[in-house]
Amino acid sequence: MNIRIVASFLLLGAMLSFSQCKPEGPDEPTETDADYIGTPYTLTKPGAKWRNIPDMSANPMTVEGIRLGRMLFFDPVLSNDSSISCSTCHEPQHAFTDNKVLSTNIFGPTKRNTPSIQNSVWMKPLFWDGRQNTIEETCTDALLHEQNFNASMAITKLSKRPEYVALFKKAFGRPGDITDVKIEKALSQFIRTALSSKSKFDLSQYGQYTLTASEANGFAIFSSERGDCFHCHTDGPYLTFTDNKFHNNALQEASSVYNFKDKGMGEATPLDTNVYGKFKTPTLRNLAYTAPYFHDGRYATLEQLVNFYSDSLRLSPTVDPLMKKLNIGGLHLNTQEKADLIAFLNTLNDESFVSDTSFTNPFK
Amino acid sequence: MKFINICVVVMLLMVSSCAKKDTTVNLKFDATYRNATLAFSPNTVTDDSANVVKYEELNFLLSNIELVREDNSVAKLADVSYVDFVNTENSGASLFSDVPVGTYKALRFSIGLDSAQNEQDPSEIGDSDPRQKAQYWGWMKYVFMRIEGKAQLANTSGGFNQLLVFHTGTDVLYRTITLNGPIVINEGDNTLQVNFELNKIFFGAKPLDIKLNDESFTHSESTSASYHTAVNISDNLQQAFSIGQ
Repeated sequence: MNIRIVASFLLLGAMLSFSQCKPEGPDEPTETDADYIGTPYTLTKPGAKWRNIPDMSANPMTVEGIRLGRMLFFDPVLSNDSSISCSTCHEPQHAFTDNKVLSTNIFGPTKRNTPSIQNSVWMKPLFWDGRQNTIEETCTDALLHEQNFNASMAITKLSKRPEYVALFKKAFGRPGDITDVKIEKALSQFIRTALSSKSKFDLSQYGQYTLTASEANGFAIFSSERGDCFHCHTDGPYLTFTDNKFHNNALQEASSVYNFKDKGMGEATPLDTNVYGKFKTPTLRNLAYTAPYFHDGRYATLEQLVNFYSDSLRLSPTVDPLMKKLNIGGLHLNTQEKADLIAFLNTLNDESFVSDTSFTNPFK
Repeated sequence: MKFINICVVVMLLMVSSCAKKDTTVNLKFDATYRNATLAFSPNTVTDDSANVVKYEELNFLLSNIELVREDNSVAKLADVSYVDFVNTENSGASLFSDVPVGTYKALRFSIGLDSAQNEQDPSEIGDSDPRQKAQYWGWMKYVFMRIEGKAQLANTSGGFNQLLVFHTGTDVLYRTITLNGPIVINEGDNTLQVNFELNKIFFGAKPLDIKLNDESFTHSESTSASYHTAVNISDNLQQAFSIGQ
């Protein structure tokens, strides 16, 4: 008996010793929605040089959800006075911008240029000032601030339209009620499908297009100290053409942080004066369709944009150190270098994207 | 006889599971400037040449972090780690587990990545790999060290208009740092503090004068007139690190 007791203690001691050496196990996976009845839609990254598609378990995409989101995107029903829709500013033929200097919402002109929503699945945070982190949050914000969205009014209007009643049920399952959360989820699902990945530059990555001498030289300028574009418009090896960060690119002159005409990120986080005058780096994709440029739409052409970086940088307290050539006014590119840089930028245009009928107005 | 056999087996199991005596080490980097804690923008520091500087970015990639025993064998803490002194989610501390208890003669690590580590771009490594937190620029590969800020040069009154951008990278600028101990790792939690004296990057054995344009920036482009700045920074690294108290 004593022998058994001693042996048991020894065995228990050994087991405890082992258990202390074990690593902790992974968390339990999240369960899927039991009410889900839609047709699953898998968003796939376009190639190896694209970031993985982020986890979307909080809003699983469905064919029906995307169809619903597309309808809501183009339908002015969501705006308070039924006057505008998301597509008023985000037109697919303009790579989801509007070609206006400043966007116009339900209240009138805003102070910022419409940012493109292309490839939003990899863009985080969102808005010029980065005030939202997810596409869903961005939809909520934009509906409220651009369309003066009133949830109960919008739901009432949608509930009177049988096609929406049916589609909400198909997209989100039982009980099939229409809610503001489902509206934002459906819009987000549609927006996530807006992927641009078939530009000449993309094709060159797979040997399906050869850059011309001018385009190749422009890419060399882009990627080196000469043009210094790569610091902000590179996302590692990925083809996003934004670092998803915030910079003061010497666009606004200001003697003090309080003198910026637009405080940019400082409006989202007013207590942090370090971020005043900083804006989210926009992607360089589809520039041919997204003019005018910068947060205030001040430049109508790529020539003007490149001339700014070449010769017109302006000092302000939060200017990014990356704008190193500020002390001599800019990069001082010569005429050929400017032409080459623009030639390269134009290789990022994706005609198949702006003409893709899966993004067009479903009511026409 | 059967009982004795069982006891022997159990005792052997217990001994084999406990003899390793592994523990945890919190490797903590503190950035200092002229022996005081480095304050980042909008705070300023004054360098040895009386330039007033606002630092905005300071981060680096570490690799091949190991403790060296008297017999030159090593206990590896990690292949790669990332330290960012500005962004709070990477607070400059890394916790390493399974470190053998003992006395070591040195801590050794490298700033940057060895060529094999540098060759794998972010699309080829896991999402939790510390390299994902660092910058990666195609031609340069990973940025080993990133220092950015603005200076008001000595004897000038024009404000903070000397922009400072120092990005080191590429295989040839990989540098290994050895910090001599003794370093005693005990059972239980250990904190190993390493000081990084930023001032010595510019006022080390190979000094730099930030009022000169070519010494106020570098992207480690070997054909650039500023390339020596990247070399000097890299060569001054050994002096800048020390074991803390």
